[in-house]
Amino acid sequence: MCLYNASNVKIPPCVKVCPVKATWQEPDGITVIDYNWCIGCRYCMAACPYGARHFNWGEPEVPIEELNTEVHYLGNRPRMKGVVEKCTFCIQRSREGKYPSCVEICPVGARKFGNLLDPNSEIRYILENKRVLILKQELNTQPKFYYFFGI
Amino acid sequence: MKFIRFIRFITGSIKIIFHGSKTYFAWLIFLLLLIIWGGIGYAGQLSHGLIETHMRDSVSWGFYIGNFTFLVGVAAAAVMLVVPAYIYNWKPIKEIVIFGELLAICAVIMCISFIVVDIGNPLRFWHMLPLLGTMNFPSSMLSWDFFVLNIYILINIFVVTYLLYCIFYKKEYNHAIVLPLVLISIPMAVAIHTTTAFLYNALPGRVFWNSALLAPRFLASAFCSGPAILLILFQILRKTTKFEIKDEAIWKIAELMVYAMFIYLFFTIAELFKEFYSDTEHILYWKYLLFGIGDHKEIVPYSWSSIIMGCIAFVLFLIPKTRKNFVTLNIGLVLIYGSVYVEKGIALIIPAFTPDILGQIYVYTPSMTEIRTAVMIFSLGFLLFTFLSKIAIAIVFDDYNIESLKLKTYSD
Repeated sequence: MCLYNASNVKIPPCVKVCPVKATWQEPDGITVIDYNWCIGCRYCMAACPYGARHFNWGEPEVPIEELNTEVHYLGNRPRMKGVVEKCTFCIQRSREGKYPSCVEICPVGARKFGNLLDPNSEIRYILENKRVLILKQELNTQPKFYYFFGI
Repeated sequence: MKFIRFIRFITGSIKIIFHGSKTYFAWLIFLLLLIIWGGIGYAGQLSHGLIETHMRDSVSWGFYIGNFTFLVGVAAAAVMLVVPAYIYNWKPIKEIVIFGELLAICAVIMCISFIVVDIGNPLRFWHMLPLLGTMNFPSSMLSWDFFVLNIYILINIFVVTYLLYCIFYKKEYNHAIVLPLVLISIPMAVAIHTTTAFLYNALPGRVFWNSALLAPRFLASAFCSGPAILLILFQILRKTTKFEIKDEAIWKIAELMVYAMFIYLFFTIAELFKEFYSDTEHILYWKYLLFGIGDHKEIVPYSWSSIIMGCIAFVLFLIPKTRKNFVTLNIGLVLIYGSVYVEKGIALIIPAFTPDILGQIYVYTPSMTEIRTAVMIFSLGFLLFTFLSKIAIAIVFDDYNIESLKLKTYSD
């Protein structure tokens, strides 16, 4: 999963290869997909070195009782058959100042989330003080998804 | 006035496809049955989605993209025969241009069809266009490929239509129009196949494709196999129409294919050396391709049969005795064609996704839906090529022209 910092001009490989510009990097850094524009060519899936993108091969079915009413156009609204989707860091939550659901639900606090530009944030403390690694670093994708050793 | 003349040329040409021998109509019906059978398979994919294929997140590209890649090579190589025809000053150069470009047109149409059936939302195809849509040019290689394929097919359609139109009206064609376009179509042919290779080459996440030799290998394999169909076609035309091509010309083309095969062999050895001698983790994909990983040896028979067929074809073309013997020559043509088809279809796409990003092995084999859809597209392409060839043969060899229309009789 990658969260790209907007001040970094590095273009993510998936954004580079999309033939219709259906995926792009938002100013706050989240790489998003416009599901109504995606033609489903899956070039971005071939390009992603992390397997972070997934395709709706069949018609997705969400039972009506389980439908979330708080949705974002670029995030958790119901996607249709034939489009690519990815994690959006719960864009409908993180833009309201909340944690992404996975960060909030983790029972042991293994997931951290924050603003890389804020020098007092948790994430900056981790990057400066803990042992941190990036997957496939040699590919120079500069993802903002870091694995760290808590102890 | 010119427009009416053009319409008359078109309607006159279309009339030709309704006449023919029993074999011709039997062939048409055979193709139509395949198209219907394939079409019903494709309809299932349209209603239920790509889940009807065996592609999944692990192996997100498969049979359709493999066929697309192979056909781009055919489209490119069909036009490449123009170069030796020009250099060696062969008599039937006009015919070679016409039939080569007709084959290229059908191949490009099949390519675009394979892309349309592969994408999840075919109705949104127009998003790829400039102005109307949001073409991601020059960043995305798919946009580049779309762009160069369309330019290539437009050049070919124009040249072929113009040449046939001139022969139909018994006019001399304007060299100043045709020659530059034919000459441009040659680097365009190189461009379409290089762009397709770059499509794969552009992805550092897919280690199997990230070799610098990918684009040169693509071109070499296209020149090995592409002329093969035309050589078979020319031999058929030689026997059934007034088309004349010397044995020496055919042998020369086979000789040129040997050079391409040798270069292809050399590139492959270079790739294998780098991977197997360096023995890094990247060897994983080549290992899966050639030897399998653990119990997973699914594509090993395909990769080796492709290599063996290619080597036999190489030897058959290399030795002058077997090159000049039409039985062994034709066996070699079929073998090299089969070798490159298996190589582009299976041996190029699947190892790039197997093992997948997370190291899992998802065994991909085309589903019945994919096979039916591919049969539909190939049959449509063959049908189109049959029609266009019939028109071209009538106009070029059987003196079907504006006079024949005026007489209002045409018997086959």
